[in-house]
Amino acid sequence: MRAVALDLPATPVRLQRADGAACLRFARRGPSSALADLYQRAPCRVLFPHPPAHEPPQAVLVTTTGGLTGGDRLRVDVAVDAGAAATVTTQAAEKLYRSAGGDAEIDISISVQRGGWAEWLMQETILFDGARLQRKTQIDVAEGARLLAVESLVFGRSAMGESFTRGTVFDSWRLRRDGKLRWADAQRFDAADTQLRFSYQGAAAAATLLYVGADAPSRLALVRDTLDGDGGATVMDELLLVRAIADDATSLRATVARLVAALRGAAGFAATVPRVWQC
Amino acid sequence: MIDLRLLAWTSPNCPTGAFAYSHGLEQAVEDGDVTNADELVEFIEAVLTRGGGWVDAVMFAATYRADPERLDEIADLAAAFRGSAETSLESLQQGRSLLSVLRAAWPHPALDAFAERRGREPIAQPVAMALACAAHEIKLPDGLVAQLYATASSLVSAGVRLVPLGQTQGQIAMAQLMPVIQQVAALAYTAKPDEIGTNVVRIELASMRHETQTTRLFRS
Repeated sequence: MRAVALDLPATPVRLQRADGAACLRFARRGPSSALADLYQRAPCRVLFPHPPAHEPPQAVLVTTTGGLTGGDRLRVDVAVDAGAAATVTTQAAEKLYRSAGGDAEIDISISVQRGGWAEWLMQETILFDGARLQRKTQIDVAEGARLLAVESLVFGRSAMGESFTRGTVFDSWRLRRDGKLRWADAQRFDAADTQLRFSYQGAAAAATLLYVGADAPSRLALVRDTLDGDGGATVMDELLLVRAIADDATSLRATVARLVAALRGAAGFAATVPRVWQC
Repeated sequence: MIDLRLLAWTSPNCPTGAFAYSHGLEQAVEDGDVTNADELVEFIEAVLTRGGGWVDAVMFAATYRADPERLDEIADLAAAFRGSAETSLESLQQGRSLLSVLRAAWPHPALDAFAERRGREPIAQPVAMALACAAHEIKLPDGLVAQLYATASSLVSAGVRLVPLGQTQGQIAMAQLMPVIQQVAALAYTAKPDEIGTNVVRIELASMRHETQTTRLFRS
């Protein structure tokens, strides 16, 4: 990191927009998995806490600027090789500050090869009033591989009584199986339009969870039993898709944590969320 | 001049099974979110402007314009852009049925070639409709309006049975939706398939929950 002199003139401090990246590859090493490649560029940093015994290696993504604003860009690539396992999570909720112009662009790419297990367990993205988010998540899960992914949006800093009245969201997902597009989704709305009939209508937070794998249909009952409140689950081929909305971010977080724990437990891992979630 | 073929392809007589689907409306009625004609219009307007009807309209335009080498990509995206098992079934079952009816009654080599190349890959309803329009040289704006009309008409019909409403109330709802159809058709004409999105999370949730609704008239 370049040191910044303290006596700089009062020019706009952040004309230089963030353009961060984190690229990770995990490979099988004997009976377990390990990091095989890493590239990181500020403001992205990746921490590797010691996982509990019998758990996959864990990568914790950190945005060192504490959040993103209009014009900032992040790119995250995660590759899990054949037979390997990995958990990728975030250290804290990602803050999307009010934009002075342009979208914050986040591009995510996750691939899992045959026999692999990938977890993409993001803590909430908090949309400050005036935030503009453009996030594209591209996932490719090979046949015989599995993936658990979750993302949550919080509309405004609800803890501070703020809501999301200005700004926009474009949040798109593309799921491929061995390169073939099998599911596409995109939520696109202006902040004000979240109050329209059949939109979020007052919900303070929303989550999307995907479980992909041959055993996805057999997890539907478990997920339905675990969900409560305003949520739903469905299965399309080998994709189990769950959506949940809630009146407050805390209860959505609890729902997501329960779902993650249940699905991890069913997959033979510890029935918990990553430790960083509990701080 | 109105193209009579569009009337035929969007008629309830066209055996695609449209009458069996409600796109989550049955659950929305059950939940008390749609209780009268005005709320039915709101539901359908949401589907057309920012839900599955909007996605289908954009996929229709993209399919209509697609070069042969891009057609599979659009067909894959149209089939993949689904929020639930039931709305997926709704589109894919009708897409396959429509393509087979069109090939029998309005044959064209382009339809046969597509069906053969697609094999067992899923075919979304708007893709089948758009291919037929392009093959038979029906104008894109006319086809788009017909596509949206078919979606609206099928949902009004479901609403009349579910809410329930009188047949005349159904027609009043249809009349109210006409300007919406025109407006969405114009937007879909210029929209880019990779940049569109939806904003109807409560309809998506209703469709998911419909899978476990105990008494059901509709398959979606």
